[in-house]
Amino acid sequence: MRTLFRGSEAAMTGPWARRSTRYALAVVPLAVVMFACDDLTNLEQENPSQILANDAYVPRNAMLLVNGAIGDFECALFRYTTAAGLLGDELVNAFANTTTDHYDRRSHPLTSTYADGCGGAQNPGVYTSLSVARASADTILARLQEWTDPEMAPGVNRTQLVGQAAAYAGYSLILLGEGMCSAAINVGPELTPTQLFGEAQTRFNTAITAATTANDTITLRLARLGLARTLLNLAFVGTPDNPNDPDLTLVAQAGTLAAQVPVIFAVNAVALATGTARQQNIVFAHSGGTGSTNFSSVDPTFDSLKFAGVPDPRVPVVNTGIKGADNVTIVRQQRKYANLGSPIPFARATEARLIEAEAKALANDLTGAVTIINVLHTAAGIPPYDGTGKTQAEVLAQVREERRRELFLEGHRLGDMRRLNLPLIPAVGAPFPRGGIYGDQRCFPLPAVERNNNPNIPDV
Amino acid sequence: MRISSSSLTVGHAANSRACLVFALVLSLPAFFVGVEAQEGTVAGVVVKAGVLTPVEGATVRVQGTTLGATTDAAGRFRIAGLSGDQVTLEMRRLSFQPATQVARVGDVAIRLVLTEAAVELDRVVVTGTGIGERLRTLGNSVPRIDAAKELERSAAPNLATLLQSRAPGVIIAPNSGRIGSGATVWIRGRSSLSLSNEPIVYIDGIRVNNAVNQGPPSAGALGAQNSQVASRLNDIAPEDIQDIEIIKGPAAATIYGTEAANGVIQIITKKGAAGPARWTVRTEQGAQWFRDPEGRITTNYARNTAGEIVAWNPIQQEEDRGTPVFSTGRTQSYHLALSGGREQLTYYLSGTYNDDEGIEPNNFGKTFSAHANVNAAASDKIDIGASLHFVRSNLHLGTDGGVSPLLGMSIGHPLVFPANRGFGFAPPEVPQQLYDNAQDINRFTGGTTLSHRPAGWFAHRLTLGLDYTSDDSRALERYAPPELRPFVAALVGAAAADGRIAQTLRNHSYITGDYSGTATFAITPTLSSATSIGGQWVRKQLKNSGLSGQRFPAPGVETVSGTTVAGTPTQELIVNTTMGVYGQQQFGWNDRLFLTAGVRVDNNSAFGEDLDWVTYPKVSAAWVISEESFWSSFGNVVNTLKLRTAYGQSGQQPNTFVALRTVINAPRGNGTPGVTPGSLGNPDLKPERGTEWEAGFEAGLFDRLSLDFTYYTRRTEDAILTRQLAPSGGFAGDQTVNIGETSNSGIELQAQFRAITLERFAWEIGGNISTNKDRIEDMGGVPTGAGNLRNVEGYPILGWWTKRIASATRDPATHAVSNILCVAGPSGGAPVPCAQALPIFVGTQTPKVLGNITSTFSIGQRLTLYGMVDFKRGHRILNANVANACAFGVCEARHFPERYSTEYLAGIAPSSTTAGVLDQFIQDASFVKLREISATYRLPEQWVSRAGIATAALTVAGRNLATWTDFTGPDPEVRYTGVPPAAGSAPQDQALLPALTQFVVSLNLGF
Repeated sequence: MRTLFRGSEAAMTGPWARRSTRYALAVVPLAVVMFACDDLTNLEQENPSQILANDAYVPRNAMLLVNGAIGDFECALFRYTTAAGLLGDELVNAFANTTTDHYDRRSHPLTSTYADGCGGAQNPGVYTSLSVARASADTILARLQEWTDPEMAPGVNRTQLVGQAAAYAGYSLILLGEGMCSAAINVGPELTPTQLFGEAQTRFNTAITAATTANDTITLRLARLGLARTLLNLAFVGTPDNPNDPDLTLVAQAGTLAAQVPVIFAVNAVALATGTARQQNIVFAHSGGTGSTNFSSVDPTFDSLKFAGVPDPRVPVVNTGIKGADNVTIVRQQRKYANLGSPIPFARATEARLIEAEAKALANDLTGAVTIINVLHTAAGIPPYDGTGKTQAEVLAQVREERRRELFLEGHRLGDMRRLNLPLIPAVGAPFPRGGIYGDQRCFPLPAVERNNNPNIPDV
Repeated sequence: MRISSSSLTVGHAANSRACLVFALVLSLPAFFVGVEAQEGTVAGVVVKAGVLTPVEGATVRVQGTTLGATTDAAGRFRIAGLSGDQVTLEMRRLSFQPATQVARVGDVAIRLVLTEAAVELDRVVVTGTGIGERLRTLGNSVPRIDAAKELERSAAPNLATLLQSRAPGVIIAPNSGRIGSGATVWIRGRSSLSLSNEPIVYIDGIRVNNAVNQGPPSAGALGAQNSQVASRLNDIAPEDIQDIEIIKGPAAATIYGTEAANGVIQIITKKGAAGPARWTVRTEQGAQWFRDPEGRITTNYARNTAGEIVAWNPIQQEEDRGTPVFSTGRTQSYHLALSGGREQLTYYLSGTYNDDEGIEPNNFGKTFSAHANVNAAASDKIDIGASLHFVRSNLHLGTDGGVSPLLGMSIGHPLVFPANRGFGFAPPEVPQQLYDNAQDINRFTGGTTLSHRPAGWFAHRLTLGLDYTSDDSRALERYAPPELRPFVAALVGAAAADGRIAQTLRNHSYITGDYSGTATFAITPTLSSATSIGGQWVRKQLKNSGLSGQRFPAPGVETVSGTTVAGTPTQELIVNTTMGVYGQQQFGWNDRLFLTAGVRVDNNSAFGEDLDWVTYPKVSAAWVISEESFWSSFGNVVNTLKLRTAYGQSGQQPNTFVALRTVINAPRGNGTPGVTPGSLGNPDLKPERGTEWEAGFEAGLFDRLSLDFTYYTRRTEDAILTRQLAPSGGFAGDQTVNIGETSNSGIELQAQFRAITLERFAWEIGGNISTNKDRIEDMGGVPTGAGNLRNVEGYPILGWWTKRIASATRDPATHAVSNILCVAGPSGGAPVPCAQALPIFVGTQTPKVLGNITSTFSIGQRLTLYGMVDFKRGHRILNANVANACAFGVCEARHFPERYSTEYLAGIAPSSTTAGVLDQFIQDASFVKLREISATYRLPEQWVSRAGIATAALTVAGRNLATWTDFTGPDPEVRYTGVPPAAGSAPQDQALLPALTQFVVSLNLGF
């Protein structure tokens, strides 16, 4: 080093030095480029906390993607059950918050939080969470139908996954049809509930075919029960003003499908108490607390339900006597779900039996309907229902009361209220405890976020 | 904890390597010392014409040879190795006119006089083309801040302060007055609707991290509120900076390509000069305090049970109690530098230590930085330069906002909060003792530049550099002692009294590779050509890990591993790469008229996958008209005049990842792995494209007055906005799209006037003023937001929107207001009840006019008196202090309504508050500040030489000494903009410490 810098001018400017310098100047950048070219020119972005969709949607991830779609549905179901419970007659708001009030007051503006996705518990998002769940299932369903069996990871049955994806897409569509006044699919035109149920029917048929081929009995039963629920809805949505005059052919088909669901069957949305908000049973978060921290309370009409003088254990409710955070509402705590990790069943044998019973009653097989009711009573430990001398209307009413109790806070009540055109309680125009009056919303209107960003639907 | 340990190990290992490299480079000069020529010598001093004060850093060269020297702080030079009887000496120094003088060999008492240049047309500007361009060739305005000079007279504590007010069009907006807080920097206002408006920064050609709001994260409770104000820009020690050049906007920054639309700040650090080793020692001692807190913190009022109005002044109360809320913080700084070398090798080495105390016990910082610049001439054609910096700092940022004593004062009153001595929520000792927001920084910035001149017509250079920052940030809420536990329990629950911590470990690296070459030809004797090509590669790699936990088991346990309830760890890796190439052709005619055209082609990893490369063109012209022969008749009046104009484009890339369609890890409740849709992405996403045209002139008049004037207009197209998605598509949230358009325009004027230039007295007046107007031209159909800061077509970017009182009836006896009506909305119409009114535009948050005026007196060759007044006008800030006080019923207007207008009283009426009327609190934040004053005395050499000291200067400087404003909060200048500093966050003064008043005494010694 000293020689180089202190040496003679000749040494520094001689031919050897010039050549060496030239070589160095040429070789160094060249070496850098050669050794690091790929790395230097790589413009891919990296973030381990996110996965590129193109990397994720590959055949070897098929099961991961189907499970993701199921997770999306579970998240949506937790929110739908809570929000529908408030808009329907299962829950009442107990929290002093204008936005939260909209759910119970039936007064949602189109920009309200029911349009949201899988956020927190206080103001449950319905439309986006269900839309994402539907789209996730439909997307992987479409990919599975393009992929081939050899492309699957070892041990993965593609046809079985087709059945699962289709079934969960169908259930998302059921909830959209039961809960939304209208909805859209894939940024398409506005669809009526009838059209949504039609879409659900298509998914369930796909699921039944695939599950049959794959010999997947759980998915087969899940799809059959989903299709039964769909057909029951379709039987009524065509005659909204006359709920006692449904399409009996569809009802009978529903009953037949439901009868194929065995007595021991349940599929749950699983939850994790210590998980993220997405993984938690927010019905509990909303209405399971013991007092002033509750966002909602069970509606008084579900408090202390009895049958023939015997408390009905199917609707476990405790009147805490404590006022909620709104300092108005007495909190009635639901005990159906014990904690944030309690699963919510969304397709189970009891529902199948009740569809079966409703079909029998509408077919005037009152004995068959009463028999089913009493099987459920026996299981619940309450006295039997005496069907002696009961009219068809009375038996039908009992079947629907059984649905109200058996399927309490399982995401069915709002759909039944719409399907059967049940009266809104409190009535439209009645004063709301925290200001304003009760509105007339029986369903969640298509939100502004869809209307204003879907080119196939006029803006608001 | 494994993550924590691992990350720390990585950080420390990297730091160790950085230190090793640094040490090796520091040792390099040892190889070259002890070489002194003994032949003929000339020596002397270079002084400034007029006052005859020494000129440091002037280059003195012997004409016709490579021999030369650079003057030291006393203006002295010495050139040995001469032969013959006499030589001609050439003298050059930035800001001075070049000069020559004949000297006799052997004369060691030469006095060379340099005259200041009104306009520095031959100053070389770092423009991105590598070898630099002379100012006369540029079509743009590129202001320069002589950092060494400004630091000496201002004692600026950090880089942001050094930038403040010294260049027209550069807006520095402090986030807080606390030690360690950084500032938001905007050049020529704001142009982006959703992205950062911060410029990018280079140090000696290396792209560096200048992220703002880099403090500790929130632990989920209160203690970290507003603590995120640390800034990487302020890691750079002002003492090591020679010059700062501001490259403003797209017209000037085209060669910098994508990311440069907000402008470029070029920092050139100090380098050694050939000559004997020179030591420089600087020590600074000072104090800082909250000036007049009793007067600037609003007095609150409440009624006692007897109905009497009771005033509350918390500052006075606590002083009377013997527990003053604020104290006077001591600042001290020590700087040691060694520079020198020979023609073949020069070096500059320095170390700086700062120890600053804030005015609260949980706000202080200690910083050590070392800096080395080594430049070697491997041959007459090859230069190699290495620039290395290492910074180690330990900051304790304290906290503003929601839990600070200031908030407690702004909403408090003993009749409202009797348990807290009147302070809202908690007395001052709670945040001051329990909340510690700390940041440990180890930062290495280093690079090397290889310059090669293989032929007289061609020169090129390669720069490789790394800027690496290891950051350990901790937001700590300590286990509360018994006397404080009740306050915490009442504030955030009993469990919170056990404390919590959130720790973020950041390892951020910026790697720069930059090549450029320029070929120059004389096509004809009058027509010259300069052709430049180059390429640049910058990769940012940001690794972040987050750990947290709650509930310490006992006092003194303050680590994540010591918590009893662990939080969810987070981990993040962000890699972003920019690649670009450029070409530029310049033609010069008679070295007076220059036409330049260029193009830069870029790709960036944040672009959409369907977008490959973007192209940014530029064209400019400069004409030194005063050197034309026909100008001679004006030459006595307008000595120098350069006309210039430039047109150019540059861009700003989207935020990383937003172009990508992603899915997110989302296991089911039973643990089964799953994913859920993340971002829809946008494969067509491209950078925002700024197109700017500017025109202006640089002029020197009467050899006394310099003027630099620019008019500019900029249009930003493809502005990035987020658009809601229709949920039925299967993605929640927004999509990032290029659909907006904004415009900016303004003028900039910088002037310097040597009013009096006598041998023993000089008076120089300087100043600058700039205007900026930003406007949203197109929102692409994205609906207006619902907050008080809105993007609305035809109005400024994120302007203030609120409802405004139109009329109200006032009871003359009780001052009660009724019949309150608001302005109906932007479209006008009859006043309506405020609940039905729509918000109207009430002002912009960006200053419309800003500038400064400086005055410097040089008295008797030794004493220099300096002062600076600066101002910002035309913008508004939300005074949340008063808004909060009124919400708690303790503001003056609630108790002395007779002092307020009807509109103000109507605005704070409950019905108006519910309706969202904020007009009365969104206040004009215009101000004028006495920013800096200083007195510098250069001690006589005969005194100090006895101690072996060559030069000694003593400076007494003060900062932030007075403010004139109508704003009713403590300081109209500080504005906290949230985390991240998103475009939508509200600039507000809510319990923020004002810029502190500071006095320092510094002693500069040269050996």
